[in-house]
Amino acid sequence: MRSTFFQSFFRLVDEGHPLHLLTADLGFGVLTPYLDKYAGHITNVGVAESNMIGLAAGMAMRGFRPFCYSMVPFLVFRTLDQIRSDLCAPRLPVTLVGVGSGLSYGMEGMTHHAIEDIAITRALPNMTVLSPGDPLECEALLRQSLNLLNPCYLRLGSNNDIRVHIETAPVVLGKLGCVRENGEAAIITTGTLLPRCLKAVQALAEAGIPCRLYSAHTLKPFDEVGVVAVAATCKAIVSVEEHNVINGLGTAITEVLFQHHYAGRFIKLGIPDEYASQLGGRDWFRDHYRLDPDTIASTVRSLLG
Amino acid sequence: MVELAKAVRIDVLNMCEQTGTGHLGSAYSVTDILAVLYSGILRGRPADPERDRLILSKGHSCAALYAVLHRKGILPEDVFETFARNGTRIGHHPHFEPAIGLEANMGSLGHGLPIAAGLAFAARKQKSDARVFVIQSDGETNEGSVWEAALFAAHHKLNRLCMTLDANKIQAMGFTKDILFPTDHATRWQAFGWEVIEVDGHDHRALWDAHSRLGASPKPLAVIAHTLKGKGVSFMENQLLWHYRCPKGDDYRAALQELSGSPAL
Repeated sequence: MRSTFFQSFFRLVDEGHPLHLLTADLGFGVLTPYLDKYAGHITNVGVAESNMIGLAAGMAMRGFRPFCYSMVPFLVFRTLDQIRSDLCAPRLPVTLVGVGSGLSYGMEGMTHHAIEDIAITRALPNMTVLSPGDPLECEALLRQSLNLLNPCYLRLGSNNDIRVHIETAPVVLGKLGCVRENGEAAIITTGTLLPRCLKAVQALAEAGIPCRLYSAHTLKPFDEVGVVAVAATCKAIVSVEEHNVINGLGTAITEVLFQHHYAGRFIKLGIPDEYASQLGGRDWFRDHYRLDPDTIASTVRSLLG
Repeated sequence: MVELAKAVRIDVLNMCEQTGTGHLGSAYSVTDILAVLYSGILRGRPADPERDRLILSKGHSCAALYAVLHRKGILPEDVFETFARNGTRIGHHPHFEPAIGLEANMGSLGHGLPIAAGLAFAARKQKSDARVFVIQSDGETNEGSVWEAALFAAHHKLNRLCMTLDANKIQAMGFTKDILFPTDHATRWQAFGWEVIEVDGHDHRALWDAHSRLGASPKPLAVIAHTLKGKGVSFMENQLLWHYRCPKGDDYRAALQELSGSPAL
């Protein structure tokens, strides 16, 4: 996803958009190939994330469209005060590009985990929150986000994210993205768990249970109408996210379902409200927290039961 | 400048007295700096995208800024008279509204210099000669983000960026020297790669000359303005109490008399 992001970003620079990338000294390897050709569009501000947000605010005030790049915890948690006062309240079109969603950097330890960011960024007035499920969604959302006139948080995985969509992703910013459209049950996910959810859907299909799959790539504004439409035709819904079960995607869906008197069954899967005491790689963590295709599929089955 | 500063001090006294607002001492330490900047240093009106911009990072002293902006015709009367009243757009810390001279959300310390550096960096890239001024308090430089931005500005030689330090020696809980390691300001900003000028922060001529030197050096400019908290009202000067207290009754009358009758500051 990181490579896709940079590829798409510099394509947009080539098209003449006034983009400027600020990085807090991260991107070695993925950003390095662009440093010479795009020197005028990249600034390494040093390991100084709070300053990076302020710089972006100042640049946006003069007409630039700055992108701030770092790992989620340093980009969003360390700088929250700057984000709310300097970007969100004045509605400046700055994009925060956070890499390492969820437990992408599992073995790096809790300082590098990002399981609270959806809750925090969704609660910020004027902020758009995007969480693409695969590289093609990332590319499409990035392009569409340039029409926004407000700050935006782009929540990315790491670098080995699997493609789900084949050639073009049917992505509309602000709308629930449909990946599989048949069945009386639905899985709604966000971010890079999409491939695992697709495996669950495939396993269910092989067992004769058609199941829908949606990518909630836009977490704010949240597509309430889209969720209501799913609820109207599905008797079971499972949400799957690599985020604290508190105030993430599942909570957003719960609010919509409850307010619309959903009569079906709903379960949210995610990361329990804890900082990990054991460490492992991303896939180990996903299995550890039972965000695996088997568990997702059996959860759907249990609701249909 | 002298008349403006005098009028602003009286305005601030009235604004605070009428609304029960504190932070008078902080407003008075920065009044002369603001009066000088708005008397010919800052170029361009709010509608001009190439204007010089001022960010009052020590947002709690905004009563003085509102009064100056009002007297300069930037902050309209109908907005000014709502200061600190329910429903107002101008409260105890300024909200971003460039059309009335408020260039950022101010109030959380350590935000102004990063934003100002971003403005100056962008202007450089756009080959604009617009300049950026930011006023910080000495207590504010406890914030780490100040020094992140200081390094950035020095590294990129943002010599259209001016940071004025309102060094009134008092912060929220006491004297700055007692709260956090008291390094000499000038030495510190020099060590961070800035051009430094130290002045008496109530001497208009000295302030004018110092700020006029912005751009003369390849480095960003730090004007260390040594000020007195509560300057202009003898019983408020250098008193922590007047970081918070609102002048009422005899205090108000005594302050008004002193400010009205005082010779040019």
